[in-house]
Amino acid sequence: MMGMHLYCIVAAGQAPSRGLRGLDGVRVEGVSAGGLSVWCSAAARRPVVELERVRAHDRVVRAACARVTPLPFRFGQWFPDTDRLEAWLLAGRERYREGLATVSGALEFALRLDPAVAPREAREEAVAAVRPLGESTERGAGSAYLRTLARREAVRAERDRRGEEILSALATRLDGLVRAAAPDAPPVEGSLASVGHLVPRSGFEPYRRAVERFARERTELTVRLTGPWPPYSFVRVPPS
Amino acid sequence: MSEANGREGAVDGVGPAELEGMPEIESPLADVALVDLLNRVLDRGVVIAGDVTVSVAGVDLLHLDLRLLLSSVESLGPRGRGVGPRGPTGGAE
Repeated sequence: MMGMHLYCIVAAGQAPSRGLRGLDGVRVEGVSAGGLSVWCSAAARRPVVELERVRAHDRVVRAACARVTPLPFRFGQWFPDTDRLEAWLLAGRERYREGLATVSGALEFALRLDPAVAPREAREEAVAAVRPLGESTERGAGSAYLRTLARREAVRAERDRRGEEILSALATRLDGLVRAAAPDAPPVEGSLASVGHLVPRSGFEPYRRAVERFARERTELTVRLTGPWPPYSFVRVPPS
Repeated sequence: MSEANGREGAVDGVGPAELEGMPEIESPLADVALVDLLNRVLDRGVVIAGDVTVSVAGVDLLHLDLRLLLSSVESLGPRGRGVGPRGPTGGAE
C-alpha cells in the first residue's frame, strides 16, 4: 500500500478536480469517511520539507478554498495507507465537523504591524524611557553586562506594551468585521504585533477599508496585510 | 483567490464560482508573504503528528526551533536543498 500526504479536510462530496496536482506533481484525490473527505496524494514516505513542496501544499489547499473553506493540514501530515486514514477520519469526525463549522464561509488574512521608524531609532527611544541602572560609579564587565540585559529587557517590554495597545486598538476598530483573531505570540521577529484574522468572504471589503483607515491614522506604524489565506491559524482541533 | 458575492446554497454559503472578484493582496515585500506562508504551512493547521523533527544529511536535529527553520528555508530558495521531517513526537495544536 502507498502512503498519503494530506492537504485538507472538507465535507464529503467536495472532490478535487481531476487535473489537480500536489507534491511532486502527484494527482490529488479524496479519501472519504464519516461524511468528511481528506484531499491527499500518494507519497511513499513523509515528505521532505522543501520550499517548492511547501508551495505545492498551499496551492492544493487554496484550490479547495476556491469552492469551500477547508481545514488545512500542516505540511508533512502523512498516513502509511488509506485504511488508517479512513479510521482516523471516522474517529475524529465530530471534531472535524466542528472545525469546519468554525471556518465555514471565511478566510484568513495576516496583518503585520511594524514601527515606521528605523529599528535603531526605536531602540534609542525605548532606552531613553528606561531609568538608568545603579550609580555612575559602577564598574566592571559584569555591571555592563547586566545593564545590557536590562536594556534589552526594557526594549522587549516596551515592544510588548506597544504591541498589546496596537492589537487592542485594532480589535476595537475591526469589531464586527472579523469572526476571530489569532495573535502571534511572540510576534514575528522585528514586528510590534502580528495577527491573523478570520474574515467572512462577503465581508472582505469592509475589513480591508477598516484596516486601511487604521493604517492612515496610525502613522507611527507600517501596516502590512497579506491574504487571503486558507484558515491555517483557526484550526481548533487537538491532535489525535 | 477572488471575492465572494455572498450567494447562498452551497456547503458554506459560497458556491463554486463565489471567489471571482476577490482580489489577492500581495505585500510589496515578497519576504513578508513568504514568512507568512512558511509560518502557516509549517507551524499551523491540523496535525496528526507533533513537532516536525528534521534531519540534515542523516543527522537528526530534534525539536528544531521553527523560527530557525524558517530562516534557513528562506535562504534556500526554490532549488535549495531541503531538510527531512521525521516521525511523530507528540505535541499539541
